[in-house]
This record gives sequence, structure tokens and C-alpha cells, in this order.
Amino acid sequence: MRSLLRLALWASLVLARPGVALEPGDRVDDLELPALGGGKAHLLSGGTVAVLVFARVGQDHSEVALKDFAARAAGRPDLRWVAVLSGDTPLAEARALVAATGWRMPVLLDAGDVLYGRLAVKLHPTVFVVDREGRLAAVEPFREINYGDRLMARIQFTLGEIGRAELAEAEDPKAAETHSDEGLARSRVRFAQKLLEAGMLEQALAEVQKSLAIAPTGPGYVLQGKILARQGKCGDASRAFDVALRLEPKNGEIAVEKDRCAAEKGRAP
Amino acid sequence: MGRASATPALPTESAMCRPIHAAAMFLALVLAAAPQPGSAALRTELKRTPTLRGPALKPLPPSEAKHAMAPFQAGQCGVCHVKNDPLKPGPIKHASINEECFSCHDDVKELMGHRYKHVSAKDSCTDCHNPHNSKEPALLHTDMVTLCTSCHVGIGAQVASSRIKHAAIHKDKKCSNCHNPHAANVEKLLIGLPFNLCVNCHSKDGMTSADGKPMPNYAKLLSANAVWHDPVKAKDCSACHRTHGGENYRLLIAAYPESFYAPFDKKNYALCFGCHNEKVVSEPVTTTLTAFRDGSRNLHYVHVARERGRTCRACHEVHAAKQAKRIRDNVPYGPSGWLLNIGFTRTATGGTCTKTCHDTKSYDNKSLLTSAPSGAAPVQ
Repeated sequence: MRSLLRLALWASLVLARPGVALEPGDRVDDLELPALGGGKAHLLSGGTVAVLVFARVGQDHSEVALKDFAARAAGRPDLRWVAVLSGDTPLAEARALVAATGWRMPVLLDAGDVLYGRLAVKLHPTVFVVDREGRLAAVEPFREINYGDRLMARIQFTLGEIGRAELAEAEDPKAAETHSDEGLARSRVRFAQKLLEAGMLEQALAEVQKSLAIAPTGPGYVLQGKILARQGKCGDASRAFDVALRLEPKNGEIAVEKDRCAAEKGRAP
Repeated sequence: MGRASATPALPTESAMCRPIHAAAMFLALVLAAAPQPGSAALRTELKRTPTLRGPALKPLPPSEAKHAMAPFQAGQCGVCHVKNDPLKPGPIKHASINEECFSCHDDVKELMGHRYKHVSAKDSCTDCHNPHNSKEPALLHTDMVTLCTSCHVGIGAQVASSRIKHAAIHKDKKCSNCHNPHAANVEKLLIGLPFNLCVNCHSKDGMTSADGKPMPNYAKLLSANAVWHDPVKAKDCSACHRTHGGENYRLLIAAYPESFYAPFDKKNYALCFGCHNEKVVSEPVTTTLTAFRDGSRNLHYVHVARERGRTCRACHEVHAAKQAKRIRDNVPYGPSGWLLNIGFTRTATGGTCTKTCHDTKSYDNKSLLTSAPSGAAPVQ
């Protein structure tokens, strides 16, 4: 009898053991859990990608994430969105969380934290994305920055709506530098272009030289060539066009401008 | 000065009074919105100021200005305005201020294609920039921190009144050290993910915090230790640190004990329990919450939940370590910072700590046969 009891206790430990984190591709058991609204509900919904949000009451991160996901879920009714709270959460607090976040999808209560233990949930909130076949596709623990963007990219990737490159871009977006020399140089070229159009050749040339001092760009040398050509300095213009051509070998305009300058020089008395 | 013809001009008095009103309002809001100890809200109060138009954008006297827009400096009013007359330049050529600016600054127009856009930049470049000249770089109306916090009053309050300051806010490019004030691909208009920005600066030897304590070279620390804390892996330093200023040491967003020992109170661990389940520490018995248990006896509870509790740092490195769960090799202990070995070894059924704070002790989380009696009473 004592050995039977010991075996039963051992079995309960093994079944409920934490720390055995599922790997992507592992099957997620479709447990039936008590629902906040009453009755019981299944975790998954066959053939639908499921988004399981493990959250807890009285915690800012869970509230912020649920609010964000509730808004995003409205745009993705094709997914099964489920919030999972610990089974010992006071029901009034659970309902208050739902009201505060606008969460309209099922809320399941994990009695005895069994699911929590099985999935080795370490943090709140954590989102498990389960694919149509009931296999774990991704685990997204809380992020302060870009959490919703990352989650949606992960879901879209699971659904095959985006590829690996777009997923990588969502996970580490391209930097948006505040200032680039090239940008500053380009705006100076634009100003010089306006001066050229107004016939102010000396000022335009001075401005384009300032631009080239900041960053030697193809458009800068093209414009320098055009201004010099207008000044009748075809040799200097030709040299500027040559530099521009090295920077922008596919720019057909450069050869045209260079030829025009040479032709005009040929016609000159 | 000229403006979009469809745009009504603000009275001149409004422009004159604006800085005084803004300063008074800012001071009042700083006092009202001063951060509460133990917290540093990320979502803070925002108060949009009216779009600046017409006389509010007139040039400063040349003696005051240090920077000028190239066409203005060249006396070429006609580049932007319908007339080239400095006294009567007339309205601008394009239908809106931004269209006018983007006709030269096409790099900024491209930037505005990013996912997150600054409302002010979308509305009007002149909300922040004087299109003629300024005392400030980038032709900002005022010093960048003052300008940004005139709308972002909650951030202004954190910057002004926080106990712990972040030096980055006032040096080099100030707010734009981290934010792109036009648009970005990351929330909060961050230039990149927080990690990329933070480590960019915190990768030098010899850096010290505001209280003079040495700070690690994070590039070195992270490259030498392969097991990273999840927020570090996610490049999400903001999950734990509030970079505008805060009440907690190391700019932590919430309370975390600074010392090796601390009486257990979940409020003291608000930082960790902001993500981690507090029941990992507060439940004396569990078979689900943690693998650091001997049978069902929760060893986190044993170590932490007591009057002279060991804080998380006693065993875990925060940012990165060599062992799984970021178990430390050793921990600074005592006033001299002597390094106490942890001596932890993982085993197939749990782990062992050897010659450390206590004699060698092992735990087994695969069996109910514990090395000490189960129950709530922690070992003293």
C-alpha cells in the first residue's frame, strides 16, 4: 500500500513537472479548462491558429499587453485568442482585468497552475502561438517595446503570410537614423538646383560645392557639371560629369549632359 | 513672414507670450506630475502645443541666431516664398509647410515613410523648427530637451525631478541620442531597439553611474557570457530600465533590493515580479512553479522568503552568465566586495551547491524524497 501511495505521488510529480519547456513543433495538449464566463472551454480550436496569452491580475505588463492584443485581435477574428489566468485568481479581479483591457475573447482559469507547469511558463505575460495542427509555433515573452508588432509578425509567419526576412525585420527593425550627411548634402543640392533654375549660377555653384564637401554624391556632381556647363566651362563640367558617372554608372542623363556641353562648345564662335 | 495662404496667423502677442506661458505650464506640470517613489511610468502625460504659424516663425535678429537655413542665409526668400522680397516675401509656394520643406529635404520625407510617425512632424515641421534661423542646431525653436518636454510633460517631470538621472539626456544629441523625432520603425520613435542604443554607449570601460559606482562594459560582459536574460535577448532594456530618470537605482523601473540580504516583501521585488510569477518565491510547496525544489519543497521560498532573505542577485546574474538560469559563478559579498563562490552544479535530477554560503547541499526535483523535511519553515 505504501509503495502504491509513493508511486502515485511520484506520478503526480512527473505529470505536473515544470521546466520541461516545449520546443517549437511539440504538440500542445488541448486541455479543457474552466472559463471565466462559466462552464468549460477547450484551449485550442481545431484547424485554427491559437494565440494563448498567459497573464495575471494586478500586473501592469499583463494589462498593457492584453489591451494591445484585444485591439489587434479585433482585426484578426480568424485566430483563436485565449487569455489564461491562474486558477486561484479572484474572479472579481479577473473580471476587472477583462473590463479594463477590453478583452472580448475567452478567459480560461488554470486550476492548480497545471497548464502553467506543463508549458513551463516563466513570465507574465507570455504568449504561446499554436499552429493549425496543434503544435507550438512560437513563444513570445513580454517585451516593453514592439511587443504587439513582434507577436503579429510571429503569427503572420506561422500562417505563411510573411517570410523569414519580414519576420527578422519585425524582430529587429532597421534603424532610423536622425541625421545623415547624405541627406543633408541632398537638400543642399536641391537648393542649388533652385538657384540654378533662377539663373543664379555663382550662388548655385557655391551651394553645390558646400554639398559636395558634406558628402560627395552623384546628384551633386551632376548638378556641378550642369552649372559649369551653363557657365561655359565645358572642360570643368566634363570632369564633374566623369566623377558623377563613376558614382552613378547607370545614370543615362550624365552622358547626355556631357555630350550637350561638348556640342555647345563645338558650336561656340 | 510668409505662410501657407490658407492658414490663419496667430496674433503676435500669442507668439511673444508663448515661451512664458509654456515655461509656467511646464513648471506646474513638473510639480504635479512628479514621479512617485518606486515607480517610473513609461506611459506619461502628453500635452500638445498649438501648431506654430505666421509671426511665431519670424527670423531671430542676426545677432542672436547661430544657425540659419541656407536660402534664408543667402537672402533667397524666393526659394520658399512667392516673392524674393525680404520685407514682403508673401506666402510660401507650396500648399502646406511640410510640402515646402520636403521640396528640398526629401531625406526627411523618406523618413516619414517609417512605421511610427511623430504627430508634430506629420502636422508641421515648424512645430519644432524655425524655418529661418535659430540659436539651436537643426533650427529648433529652443533647446531640444525643453522643446520636447513642452509637449511630453510627463517625461519632462521624470527628467526634472527624478532622484536618479540619465546623463545621456543632456549630452551630445540629447533626446535624439535615442529617438528620431520625425519617424522610426520602433515604438516610442526609438532609432532602433533599446539594446542597440544602450550598448552603443555602455560599451566602454570605466563608466560610472551617477552615484559614482562602476558600470560594466556591456559589450564585453555579454560577449563573455552566452546565457542572456530574456529581455536582453529581445533587445528590450526598457523592460527593466526607465531611461528618462527614476527613483530606483540603476534607473530600474520598479523596486529591487540593492543589497545581498533583504527582508522578503513582494513590493521590494516589484521589478522581478513585473514579469516573473511571485508565487515562485511566495509558495512554500509546489510541484509546478519551479524546478528549484527538493521534492515539493520550494527552495526559492527557503532562500528568499524570510527576514534575512537572499536577494535574487545572490545566485542569479541579471544580464548574462555562463550557466543556465544565469546562475552566477560567484557573487560580490560584504563591504569589500569579496567574491563568494556559488559552486553550483546541475545534475540530472536537480543540482548541488558546494562550499558556498552553506555546506554542500543537493536537491532533487524528480522525487518526493527530500533531503530536509517538507513544509513551510525555511532553514535558517
